[in-house]
Amino acid sequence: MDGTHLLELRGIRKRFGANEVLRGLDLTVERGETLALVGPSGCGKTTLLRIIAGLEQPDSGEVILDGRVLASPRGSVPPERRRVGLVFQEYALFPHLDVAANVAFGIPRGVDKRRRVAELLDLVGLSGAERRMPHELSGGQQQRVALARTLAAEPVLVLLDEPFSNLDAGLRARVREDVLRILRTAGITAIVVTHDQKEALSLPGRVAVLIEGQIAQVGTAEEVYRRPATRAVAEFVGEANFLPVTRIRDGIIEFELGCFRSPTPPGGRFDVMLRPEELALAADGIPARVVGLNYFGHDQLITLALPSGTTVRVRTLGPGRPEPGSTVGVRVAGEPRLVAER
Amino acid sequence: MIVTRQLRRFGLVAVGLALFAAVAACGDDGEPTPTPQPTSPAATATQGAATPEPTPTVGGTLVVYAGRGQNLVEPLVQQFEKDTGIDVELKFGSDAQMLATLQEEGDRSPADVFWANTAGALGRASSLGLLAPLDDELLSLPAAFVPDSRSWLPVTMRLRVLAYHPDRLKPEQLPKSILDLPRFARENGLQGRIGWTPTYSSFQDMLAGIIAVHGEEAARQWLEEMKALQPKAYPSNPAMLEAMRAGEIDLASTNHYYVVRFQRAGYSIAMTQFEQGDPGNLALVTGAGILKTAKNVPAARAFLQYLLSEKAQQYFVGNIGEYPLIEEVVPDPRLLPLEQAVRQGPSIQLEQLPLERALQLLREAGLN
Amino acid sequence: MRSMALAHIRPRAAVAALPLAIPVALAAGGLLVPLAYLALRAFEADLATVEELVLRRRNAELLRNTLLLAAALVVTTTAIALPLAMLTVRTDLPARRLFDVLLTLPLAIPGYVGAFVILAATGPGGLYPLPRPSGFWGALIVLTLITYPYQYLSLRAALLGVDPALEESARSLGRGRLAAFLSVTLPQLRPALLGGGLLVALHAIADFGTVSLLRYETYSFAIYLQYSAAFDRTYAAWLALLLVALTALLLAGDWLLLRRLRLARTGTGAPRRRRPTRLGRWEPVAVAAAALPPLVAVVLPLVALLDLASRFPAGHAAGLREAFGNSVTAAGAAAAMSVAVALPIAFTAARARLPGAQAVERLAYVGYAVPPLAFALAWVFFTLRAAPALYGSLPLLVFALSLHVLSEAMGPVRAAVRQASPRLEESARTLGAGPVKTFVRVTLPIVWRGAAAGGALAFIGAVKELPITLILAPLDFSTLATRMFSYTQDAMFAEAAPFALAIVGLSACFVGVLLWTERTFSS
Repeated sequence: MDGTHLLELRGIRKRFGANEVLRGLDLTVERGETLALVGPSGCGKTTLLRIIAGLEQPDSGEVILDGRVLASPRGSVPPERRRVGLVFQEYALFPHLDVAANVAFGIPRGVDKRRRVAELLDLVGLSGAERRMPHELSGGQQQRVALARTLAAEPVLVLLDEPFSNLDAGLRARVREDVLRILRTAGITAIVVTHDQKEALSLPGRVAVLIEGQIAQVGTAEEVYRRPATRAVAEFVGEANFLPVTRIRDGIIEFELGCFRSPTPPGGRFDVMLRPEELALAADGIPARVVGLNYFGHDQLITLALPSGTTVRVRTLGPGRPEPGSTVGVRVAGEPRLVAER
Repeated sequence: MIVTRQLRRFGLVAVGLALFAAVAACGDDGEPTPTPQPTSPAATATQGAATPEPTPTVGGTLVVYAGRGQNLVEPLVQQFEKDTGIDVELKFGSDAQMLATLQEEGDRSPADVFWANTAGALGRASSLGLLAPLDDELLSLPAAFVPDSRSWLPVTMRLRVLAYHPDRLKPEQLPKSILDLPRFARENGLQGRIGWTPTYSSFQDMLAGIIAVHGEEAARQWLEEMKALQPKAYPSNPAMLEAMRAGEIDLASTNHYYVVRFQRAGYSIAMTQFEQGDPGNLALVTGAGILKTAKNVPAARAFLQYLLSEKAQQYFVGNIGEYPLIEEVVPDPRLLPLEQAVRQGPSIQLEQLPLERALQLLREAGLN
Repeated sequence: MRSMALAHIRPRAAVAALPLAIPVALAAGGLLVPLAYLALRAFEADLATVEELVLRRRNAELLRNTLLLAAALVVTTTAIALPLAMLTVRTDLPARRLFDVLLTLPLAIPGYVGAFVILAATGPGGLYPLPRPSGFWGALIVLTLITYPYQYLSLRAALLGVDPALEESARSLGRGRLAAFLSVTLPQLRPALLGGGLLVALHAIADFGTVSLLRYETYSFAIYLQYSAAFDRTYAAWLALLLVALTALLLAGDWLLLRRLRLARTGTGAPRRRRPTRLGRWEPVAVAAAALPPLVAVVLPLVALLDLASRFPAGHAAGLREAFGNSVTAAGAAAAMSVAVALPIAFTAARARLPGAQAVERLAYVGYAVPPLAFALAWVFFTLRAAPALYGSLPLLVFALSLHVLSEAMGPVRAAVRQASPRLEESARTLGAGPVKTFVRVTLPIVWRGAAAGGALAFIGAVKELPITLILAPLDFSTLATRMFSYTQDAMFAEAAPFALAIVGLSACFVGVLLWTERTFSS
C-alpha cells in the first residue's frame, strides 16, 4: 500500500431495503488533502460519510484508515475509536452545553482542556464566546464551533457534510474561506461533501464525483470539468453539449460542427462533448437557428438548433443579443473530446 | 380439572405441615407424646386461662393476614404483643384480597392466621381447605355461631338493620319483614328512593339468608320486585349513608355499626330492625382461623384466644360498636343486650348460607 | 500524534445493543408474567362456563359504558388542557410558575378520595350547594377533573418544544393567528395529543374506585366486583383478559396514528423562545379560567375533606411518619426504576436498533391495563414458584409497582427521546465518546427533562396505588395510601385526613420538582 494514502475504501456496498445506495465504491484519499465529494442529491454521499465515521456498517467492502481496517465483513471499529471527525450538516452542537464545553467534549485525556479550548476558539475566530449557549450563536458561528469541537478530538480525518448549505449566500463564501484556512492551518486531511458542483470545483483539492453509488471520477477540478469520464459527470459538473459522432476514419472523429483527432475509447457508445463556452458565434460558421436565450448580464446562453435538429447551447460574453428565430453561424472555439455514454 | 388436583395435593401437603407443626409444638412443651393431636393436655393447661399470660412455650413471630381495618387491628395487636411477648407481623387488605392472596400463595404461604370481616370469607377459606381444624377448648369460648366446620372462631357480631331518614319516614310505619319492603316502598311512593349495596358482602349474605329462610323462589321474586323499584346501587355502606344524608335516598338496608358511626358524626340517620328471626336482621359474624400453613401454631392459638378475651371484646364494643361474643363485657347502651341480639336474626348455620346461589341470583339479575 | 492503535474490531450485531437489551427484556418479561397468569386462571374454567361468562349481554353493556367514558374523557380533558397549556406557555399570564404547579396538582388527588369527598360534600345538607354527581356525567366530570393534567403536561411540553419559526412562517404566508395555529402548530402537537389522550383513555378504562362510587359500571368495576364480592377469580380473569384485549386495540390504534409522525426536529435541539402573547385586558378572565380547574379539583375536595374530618370524632392518626417514609421509599424507588426501564425502551423503539422494541414500548401500557389486583396476584403466584426468597420483600413491591406505573413514565420519556436528534449522539461518538459516555454526557442531559417528568408522574401514580401495595408489601409495611384507604373504608375521616393531605403534599412537591427542572434547563 502506498504510504501517502490515508483512507482507502474498497468495494463498499450498502443497501437500505430495496434501495442499493452504494454499489461497490472504491476511493483513496491522500494524506493532507482536502477532497471534495460531490454528487447529485440522494447519490449516497451522506451514507458514505457515515460509513467512514462508523455510524453505519457497510454490507460489504472495507474501510482502511492509516493502515487500520476500520470496517470489513468481519466486523467494525466503533466510531469513538476511529479518530474520524464528522461535522454534521446541522452542526449538532449539544444544546445543553456552552461553547467551551462543546469544544472540550472530545479533548483527549491528559490535555490541558482550558488551554486547548482557548487555542481552538482562537483558531476559529470565536475567542471570548466560551460561555455562550449554542442557540445564541449565528449559523456561521455554530459552524465554526462545530469545527473546533471536531478538531479538539484530534482526528486524523475530518468529514464535513454539506458544511455550507445551511448558510445564506452572502455568508457562505466567507465561511468557506474560513473553514478551508482552518483546515489548512490544522494540517488535517478532510473530505467535504457537497451537492453544489460550483462549490466543489472552487475547493482547492481534488474532486470525487459520486454518481449512482459509485465514484464516477476523481481528479482535479479542471480534469473533472474538462475531461469528464462519463456523460453523467459531464452533465453534473456543468453545462455540456453532446453531439453524435457521424464518422470515424483513420483516428479522425467527424461530427456536425467539424472533426478532430482522438484515440477511440474501447467499446461502448460515446459522443462528442463541448462546453457552451467552447462554441462561438461566427458569421462563417455552420448556420443555426436561435431557439432560446438566457441573459445573465456578464454573459448569456444561446440555444441553437443545428441543421440536423440537434440543439446546442453557446455561451457568449459582452453585447450582441441575437433575435430568437434569426439564423446565426456557430463554430467550435475550444477542444472537442469524446465522452462515453456511461 | 387442574384446580382440584392442585388443591388435593396442596391439601395433603398442608395437612402434613399442620401435623408436623402440631408435633413440633408438643415437642417444645416437653411432652414426648407422639400422637399428632392438636390439643395436648399440657398446652390446654398452660394456655387455657381466661386472661392470657405470657408462657415460656409461646413466643416467636406470628403472621396475621387481616381483612379487618388496620386502624381497628393495630391497637389490639400492639396490646397483644405487650401482653404475650409474641411478635405479630401484619398484612392488611379486604377479605377478598387476603383470600385471593392466600389462594395464590398456596402451601407456600407465610401466614399463620386469617382474621376476616365476614363469615363468608372464612367459610370460603374453609371450603378451599385453607384452614386447620380448631380444638374444643377454643371453640367453647364464643357464646354463639360456632361453625359446623369447626375451622374458624367467631369473634364479634354485627346486625343487618334498616336505615332510614327520620324526617321522611316514621319507624312505626316501616315493614316488619324484609320481604315486605318492596310492597311498602311501592305503596309509599319510594320508587328510586331506596339504596342498596348488591355488590357488598353483607348484602349478599342477607340475600343468602332470605334464600335459606324463604326459599330461592321467594328470594328471586324479592330481588325482581326490588329491581322494579329502581333502587340506587352503591359500592360501600359509607357512600350509601352519605347519599341518604344528601337526600338522594330515604331507605336502605345496611349494617348497624355504620349507622352508629354516622349518628356519632351528627348525621340525621335512624335505624330499625324487622321482627325477630327475619333474614333482614341477619347476624353478621366476624372471625379468625388458623391456616394449615401456620408455622407457629401455639402463638396462633394464643392470638385467637386473645381475640375472645374480655379485654379484646371490650375493645370491639367500645371502639367500633360491634356486638361481643362473650358475656363478661360491659354492654353499650346503644346496642341490644347480647342474648337478644343473637336471637334477632334467623337461626341459620352461617356456613350453610347458600352464598353461591345468592351470587347466582344476583348474576342472573345482572347485578354483578 | 498518538501512536497507531490496534484496531478494536467488534462483531457487527452486538454494537450498542446489549446494554439496552437487558432492561428491555426485563420489562417485557415482567409485563408478560401477569398475562400468562391471567391466561392460566382463565383456562381453569370449562368451556360452557366460559361461554356463559364471556358472552353475557352484560359484557356488551360494560364494554359500551367503558368505551363511551374513555372517548368522552379524551374529548373533555383535551378541551380543558389545550387552552390551559396555551395560556401558560404562550401568554404573559401572571404567576405562570404558580399556575403550572396548581394546574398539575389534581394528579395528586387519588380518584377514590376525590370522588368520595365530593359526594360527601354535595347535595342537600352538603358543604357545597351543588347537585351530587352520579352516573355517566358524574363519572365524566370527576374523572375529567382528576385526569386532565396528563393531557395538560403532555401538551405543555410539546408546546414548549414547537419551533416558533414555523408558526411565524405560516403567518408570513398570509395565515391569520388562528389559521396558523390550526395549520402548523396543531399538527405538530399530534404526538402529544395522542400520548396524553392515550393515558387519559387508559385511566378511564382502568379506574374502578371512582366509577364505582359514582355508580357507573365499566369493565374494571365489574372485575373489581368479581374479585372482591364474588371471590370468582376465573370470571375475573376472563374479564381482565377482555380488558387487556381492549387496551391492545387502543394501543394498536395509537401506534398506527403515531407511526406516520416522525418529528425529531433537525437542528440544534434548542429552539428560540417565543415572545409571549400579551393578554391585555383579557388578563383577569385568563387568570380566572386558569384558577378554576385547580380550585374545583383540589381546593374544594380538600376543604370538604377537612370539613368531614372536623365532623367525625377525632382519633389519633397512628403511624403517619412511618407511612410517609414507606411511601417515599417504595414510590421513589419504583419511579426511579420505571424511568430506568422506560429510557432504554424508548431509545430502542425510537431508533429501532432492536427488533420488537416498539412492541415492548406498547407492552409498557399493559402494566396499566391489567387490573392491579390481578397484577399483584400474578406476582404472588410467580415469585413463590420462581424466587420464593423475593416474596414479601421490598424489591418485589418496587419492581411490581414500577411496571404498573411504567406507562406513566413512558409518555414524557418517549416524547423527550423522540425530540432528541440522533445526530447529537452520533456527534459524540465521532468525538471519541463511547456508548456509555455518550449516554451520560449527551443523551441523558437532553432527555433529562422528560425523564424527570416521567419519574414525577410515576411517583404520583405509585404513591396513590393500593391493591398492589396491599398484597405485595412486606409484612408490617404500611404506606400513606393503604392507611388512608383503611380509615376511609371505616368512615374514619378525621384520621384519614392527615394521610390524604400528606399524599397531596408529597405529590405537589414532585410536581414542583418537575417544573423546576424544566426551568433550569430551558433558561
